[in-house]
Amino acid sequence: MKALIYLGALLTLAGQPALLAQSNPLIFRGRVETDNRLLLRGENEWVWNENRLDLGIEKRANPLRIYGNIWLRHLGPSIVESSADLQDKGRINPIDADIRELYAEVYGFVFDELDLRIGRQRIAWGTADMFNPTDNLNPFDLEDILDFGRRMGSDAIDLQWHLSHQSSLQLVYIPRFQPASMPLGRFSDVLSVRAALPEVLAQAKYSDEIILPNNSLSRASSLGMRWRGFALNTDFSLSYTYSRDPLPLPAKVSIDIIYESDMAAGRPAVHATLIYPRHHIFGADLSGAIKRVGVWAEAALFLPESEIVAQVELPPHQLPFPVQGEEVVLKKQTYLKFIAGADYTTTGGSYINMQYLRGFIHERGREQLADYIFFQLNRHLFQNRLLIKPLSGGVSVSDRNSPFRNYSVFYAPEVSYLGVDNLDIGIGVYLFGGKGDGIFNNLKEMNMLRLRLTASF
Amino acid sequence: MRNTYSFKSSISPGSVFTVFAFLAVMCSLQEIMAQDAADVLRKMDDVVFAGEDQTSGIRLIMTDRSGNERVREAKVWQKGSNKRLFRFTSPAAEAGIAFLSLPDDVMYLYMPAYGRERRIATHVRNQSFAGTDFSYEDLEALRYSERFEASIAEEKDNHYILRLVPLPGTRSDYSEIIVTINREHYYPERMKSFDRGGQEYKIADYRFERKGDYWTTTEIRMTNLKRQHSTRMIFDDIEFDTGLDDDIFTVRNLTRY
Repeated sequence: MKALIYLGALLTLAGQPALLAQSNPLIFRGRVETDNRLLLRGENEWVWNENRLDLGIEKRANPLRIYGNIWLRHLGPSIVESSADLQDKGRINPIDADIRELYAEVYGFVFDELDLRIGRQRIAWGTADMFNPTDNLNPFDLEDILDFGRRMGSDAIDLQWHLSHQSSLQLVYIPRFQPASMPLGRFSDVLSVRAALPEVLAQAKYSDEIILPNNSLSRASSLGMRWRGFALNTDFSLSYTYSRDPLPLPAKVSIDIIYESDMAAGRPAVHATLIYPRHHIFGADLSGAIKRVGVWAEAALFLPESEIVAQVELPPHQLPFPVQGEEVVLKKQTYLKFIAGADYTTTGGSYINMQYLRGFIHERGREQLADYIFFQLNRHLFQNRLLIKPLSGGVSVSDRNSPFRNYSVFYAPEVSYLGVDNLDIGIGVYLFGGKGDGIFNNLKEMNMLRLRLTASF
Repeated sequence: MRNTYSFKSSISPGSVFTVFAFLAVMCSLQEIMAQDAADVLRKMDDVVFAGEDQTSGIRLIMTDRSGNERVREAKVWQKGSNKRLFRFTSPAAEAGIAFLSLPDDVMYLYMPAYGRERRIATHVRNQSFAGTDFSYEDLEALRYSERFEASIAEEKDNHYILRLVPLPGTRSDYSEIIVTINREHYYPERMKSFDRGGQEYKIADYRFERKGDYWTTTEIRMTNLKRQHSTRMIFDDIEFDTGLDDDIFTVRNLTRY
């Protein structure tokens, strides 16, 4: 509802006579998408059902530009638990509205070389594909665990000073803190704090509470700056971000033994208090070419502002397993996440893309960082009517000392039909597996078939 | 030995002079012809890149071997002979995709869905641009005379026919181009390109019209002989010398969509 109010406000603003008087009309563009996935085992349970209207609205009245991007969605199955719920269409057809971006932009603000953008916006930093360790101003949007690169818009003030045609300085201020959204439905445990509990507590009853930073400038704001340049036929940038980690970390963990009526022995129960600590991030990225191969690299040095030590509160009676009274969750020491990649198109038209990543989005601290290799091979067939991705996936190794006992893989081939303009229909599978606790191995029960359609207008 | 003696004995100083004179004349003629070819190619470039700057709308009609058509529309800005910005306006799925070509083989692609520009490495140069029969190399705004060495393959009453081969150190996915140039006005009428293996690859047929002070392309029909697929690039709303600012040909402007 709130999104609809914003949408109305945007349309009203964009329809003002002063703006309409310009030669550029109000532009609507967007996409209708449906994305459905079902498990390849058992009764072929549906694990994802999303129908999305992705609507972009733009009005230009130079030097002003107003832009909004809103998703209206039907997401997930009916949430009906009693006959009373059948009177609530919101539970039968869960509808979700999401304001992705909503901002005004002025080109040549005060000075010709200065651009100003205010409002909810995506600030995309980095040069790699999907995995960008230096892209830390917008929080992760992890509701769809398979869409790793998705971020939410942030309410921000963004100033870009173009020092020359090939160099710019960007300053971003985000006054409010916004946490990352976490995976939905059957995927909800994949990145949760619960997944990081010791094995002895894996079956424990879990609950948590989140302590958000006080909603004030001093506690909740973030700052970023980036200098971009071009030298030796290579684009590069250096960046700095002072922000809060968008994924929560446990600051306190209470463990108890609960006794239920039908249980002879007690069952552990864990209650975690989660916080969003601050960190400094120093980033660098580059993109260019070596011979005919496109190359890019990106690195982010994270420095936690303070050490995070989870206080483990033990019950008065002795637990049947050892648990420390304190656990260091994140040391106050730097850790480096980085990615390096290359792409190449063969003379036959096959596109190959490979990336090596150190440190996935949810990994914190030197000890936790794992290694990943992602690969992709695309090829258009039948006069561009079909796009096949026969090799698309990734491999992770969570412990370099014993890689064959700590690896995980995913493989996601897909075929897309592109024979009609503005239409993209895809069918593919996601297969997961491995050994140990790699992220893709955690999804091994989720091998699935995906059917999707996108129609643009 | 005998043969050598016999050979030596058959050459008189006069005939040696005649041979050298003949070779000198041939070399000079070859140089003159090469010079002429280079001049013709430069004059063609002057026509193709006429004006300080140029703006136009473009309609791309792609036709497959079964005769099915797909249409793309775009807008193009060009300044001098080495800066070009190409931005799709339709269909909706591709609207906003933009391609910026700058000097020194620097090319950027902007995809609105990703919200950031991407440097294009040279491996993409021979690839189809957005499904058309034009490659990224075809859309670069670079003078042929600066990339190819020309020689006259044939002269006809109304046409020069030049053979172009890439200059040493030039990156091109064409091993050779045979270009037919209008003898009176120096605009290209046809370019037949050969791939690196020497096989016939593409044929581009040009239509030029007089617009004010300049001869300008109004249509290019590019046929990919391997794919049996063709694309007509039809130009409209052509404007010359409107004083396009250098700021248009920047990454800052590329991402403004």
